[in-house]
Amino acid sequence: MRRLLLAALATCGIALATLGVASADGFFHRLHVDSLVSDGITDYHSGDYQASLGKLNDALSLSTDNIDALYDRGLVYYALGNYSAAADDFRHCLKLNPDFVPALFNLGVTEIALNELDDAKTIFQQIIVAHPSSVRAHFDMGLSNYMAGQTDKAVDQFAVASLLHPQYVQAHYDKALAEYRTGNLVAADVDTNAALKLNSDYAKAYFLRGAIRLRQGDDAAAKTAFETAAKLATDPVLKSLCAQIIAQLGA
Amino acid sequence: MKRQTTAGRFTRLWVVACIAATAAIAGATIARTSAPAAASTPSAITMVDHALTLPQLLADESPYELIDPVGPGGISEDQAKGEVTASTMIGGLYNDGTHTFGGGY
Repeated sequence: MRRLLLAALATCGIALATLGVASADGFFHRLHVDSLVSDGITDYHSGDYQASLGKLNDALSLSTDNIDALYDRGLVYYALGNYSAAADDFRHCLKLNPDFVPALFNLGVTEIALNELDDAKTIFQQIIVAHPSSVRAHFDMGLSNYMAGQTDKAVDQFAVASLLHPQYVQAHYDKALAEYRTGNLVAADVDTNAALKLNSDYAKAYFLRGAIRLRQGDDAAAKTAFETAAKLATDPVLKSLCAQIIAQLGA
Repeated sequence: MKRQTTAGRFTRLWVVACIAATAAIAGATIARTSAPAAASTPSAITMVDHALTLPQLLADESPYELIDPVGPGGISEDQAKGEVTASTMIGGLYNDGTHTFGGGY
């Protein structure tokens, strides 16, 4: 009897020890995966995308359906310009969790980068239906409309974005750009001024102002605006464009 | 004698006319080929309108193009969701009037 009791106790002890080891293993496994994800995010924020990709791939080799690692790797792929791979990772996230709206939103942005504008619009429309006050969704829907040549719809979406968030400089600027494209120079001028009121160093807005003045027949004011844009621009392409146009106006 | 003089005169006139015509044609040809054709340059409006189609003049240059990374060392899933659904942004942080989200940048 005593021996049976001892045997039973020994068996329970072994079982508990095994469970303990297994859960300790699981704990350390999760810790390792989390550590890799954390390092991957740190590398992403510091711009070391290749290192970030390596860490996140390591995390995913240990935990294939880790939704955070998949989502973050999607961001890294996007930063590296590998938009197809980014889209795949965001879609994988949505398969694992269809309600993971950050992955849905980022997939929409990636579809814009891939020029899959109909898919992008579908995604942003889905987000807007569920979250009508989403300034980002309205703005990116506006971008999708604009790039698809639907400038009137783009104006509407940028208008909503700038109403939701009046300090959103880019929304005012892009609304002005869309209005310029529809031929509404007066409205484009108003929104360009709104953008410049929020950010007086906004080179692109000066460029757009130059475009508006040119179309209004005021070459002198246009030239001044392009000169200001050239002075403020940090993008060498924009600087070069301004220089060419100024030279053309001066001819 | 008179007939020969008239025929000779007509012949001389004909030769002179041919030479003059040839000289005129040659001169016009040389004038046309010696100066290069002026290349047509696009107008400033054309250049501007083309420039406005470029990504440099459209892309969202804010740091909020994508929603921030999620997980240990990043933001929480709730915060990331907040970045998508928020109606406004305050100091770079998304805000829906009751909660402030974000913090990646």
